[in-house]
Amino acid sequence: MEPDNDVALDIIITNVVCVFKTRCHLNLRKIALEGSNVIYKRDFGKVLMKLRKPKITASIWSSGKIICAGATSEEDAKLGARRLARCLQKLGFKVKFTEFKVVNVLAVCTMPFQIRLPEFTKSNRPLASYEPELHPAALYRIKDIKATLQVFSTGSITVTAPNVQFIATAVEQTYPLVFECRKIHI
Amino acid sequence: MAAAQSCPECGSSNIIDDSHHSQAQLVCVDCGSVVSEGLLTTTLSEEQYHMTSHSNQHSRYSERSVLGKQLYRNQNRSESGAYSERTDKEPCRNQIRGLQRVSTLCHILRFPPGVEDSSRSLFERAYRHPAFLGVSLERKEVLAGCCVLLVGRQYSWPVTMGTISSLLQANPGLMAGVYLELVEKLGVEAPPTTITQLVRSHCSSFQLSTASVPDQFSECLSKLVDRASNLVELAGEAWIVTGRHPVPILTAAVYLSWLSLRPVAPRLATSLSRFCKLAGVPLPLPAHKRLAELQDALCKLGKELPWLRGVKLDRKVVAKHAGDILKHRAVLLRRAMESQGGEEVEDSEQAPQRTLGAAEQAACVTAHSGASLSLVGSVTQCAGCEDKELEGAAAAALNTGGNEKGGSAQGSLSSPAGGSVVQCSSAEGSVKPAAMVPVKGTINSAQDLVETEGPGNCGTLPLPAGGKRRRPVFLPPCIVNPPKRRQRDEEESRGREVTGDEEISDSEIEQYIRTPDEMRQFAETQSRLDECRAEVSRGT
Repeated sequence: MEPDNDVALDIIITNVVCVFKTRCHLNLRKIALEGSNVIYKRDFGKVLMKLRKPKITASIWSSGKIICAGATSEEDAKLGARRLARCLQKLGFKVKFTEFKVVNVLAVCTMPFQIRLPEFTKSNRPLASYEPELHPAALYRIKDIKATLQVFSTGSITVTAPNVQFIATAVEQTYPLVFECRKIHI
Repeated sequence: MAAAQSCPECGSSNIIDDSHHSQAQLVCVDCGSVVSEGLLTTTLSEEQYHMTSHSNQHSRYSERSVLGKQLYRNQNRSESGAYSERTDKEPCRNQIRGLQRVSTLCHILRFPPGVEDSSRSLFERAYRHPAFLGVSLERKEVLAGCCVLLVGRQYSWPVTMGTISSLLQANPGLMAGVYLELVEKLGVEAPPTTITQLVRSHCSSFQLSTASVPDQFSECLSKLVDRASNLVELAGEAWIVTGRHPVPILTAAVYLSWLSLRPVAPRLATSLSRFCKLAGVPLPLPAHKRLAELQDALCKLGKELPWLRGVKLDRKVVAKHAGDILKHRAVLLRRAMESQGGEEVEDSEQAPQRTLGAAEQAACVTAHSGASLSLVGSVTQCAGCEDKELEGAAAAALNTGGNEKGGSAQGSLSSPAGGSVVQCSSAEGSVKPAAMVPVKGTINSAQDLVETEGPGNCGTLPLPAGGKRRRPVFLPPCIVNPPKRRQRDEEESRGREVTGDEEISDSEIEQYIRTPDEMRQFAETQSRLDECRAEVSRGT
């Protein structure tokens, strides 16, 4: 009896962080006055603007650098960033949508089994680190794709990587390692 | 000002504090030599440094003074920040203090001499490492504690980070950072302390001997340790230990053990907080919750005891039967799985579906968002795949929520709240959720579908022919009580085809821009608020 060797896993993207530049100076006071859904953080020198569709929060600096967070896919992040740039254009700034880049993607993946973390850490040193007194998850770093995985004993894995493709790669690489250390219920 | 012990020139102890113009000096009355000068402070500890055997008795004290340091300022420093490249140079004041701190901690924790020597050598190594050379004094103080902790773990000595940070009165966050850096930079491996290792040391901190408490409350340490160890093992299986701080669990376990070893009326009437006061141990806040969880776990197993069938087991009375429950816990766990788990299901599926891989395939949703992130990995079949593994896998498949519902028969499933489902590839066998258990997955929108199915449907999990489907008796709290996710609107839940380069219409943007009236009102309100604030600040 040959087992079916294909396994499919859900990877749910929960957050995408992207940056872009407008190549012009932005008057934060004017944005705070004329924009709705805007919070002016004077102490930090930035303005927070929230869009409804897609649901993102943008931090706007007067230098023209903008960070958008909260999107659930790379395409959504780009659309939200463009909407934001368009909004700033409507406010009267000579905005150009340049140097758009997705810098961080956060995803969650649930394994269909529980994981024995001490065993996982032992067999994957020094890439894996587990300090139960500090954090309930084991931290596993993959250097070449710059991915960080938090492996919980419930089987849930949180992956952070620069883009979605790396996230898939990270989960693919980690799956056999966690599968070896799965918890078998009596 | 405390006088120094003796003059290095003549050995006399007659030393007075004198000052030469504005510079404070310690001068020997008998021979007139200057013992120390130019020090910014004249505390006893500072002076004693110069009088200890570690210091070079032939060096001039002025070299170590403020003036001396100014003279050396123009010399070139090495990359590590040191003035000299000598490897045999004598340790500096802070290093000596750090070593003393390490020794003191080792004595308090009663380390054997070998462990203490390892701690001291590790501290010396870490102190001279470039990563810890230019750091603040606070970090260096914490470094001593981290070295002790690391070596303690290497020798399987039961000591927690919390203990050491409270002994040093250090910030736990700082301690954590320094410890992780130490492990990374020095490449030292240390297995984390497991909770079972901590049981004995924690039990011994409870003062329950006949000398300190009345007879009816006193308890033998070894019995307490045995019972508490069994309880902690059960807690480990019941998902009470994972991700939680060990000390509250240990306190709750010791209390339950104490109750169950002699469940007389005075003991049963003693609450957890009173017990901790009696035993002279601080009560951590989460201990009450951990105690309730332990009692619930015991109740779940206790229901299977034949002589307790029909008896209403609740948290208050379960302590009386804890001994029996712990003695037979393996059997009780199996029975509980049979009776409290799923119902029997006959297997009509084909053989390949019995494998672990198939069970895992069950946890998939058909793609709806068009984004194809296909993830395929190889799964090696475990040799002699037994019921147990399948149960675990099947149960775990249930645990992933209502994913099973969106099987291949269904087509697209509403996307889970909280994000776009990137992918699933179609499974060979679709799996419906278990009948008896309202599966509370972490995926909210699918949850509704699951719950509406109710107990009527029969699960068709892949199982060996004639086998029983069992699910674990104990589930992680995050699966039993999943966090509530906000309901997204239907359009989002169905998922949109987004490319990122769509046209953006003006109407979409106008909602984010204020009308001129709104701007005027906002500006007026802002100015009024500023005036009020200015008045208030002037008034105060």
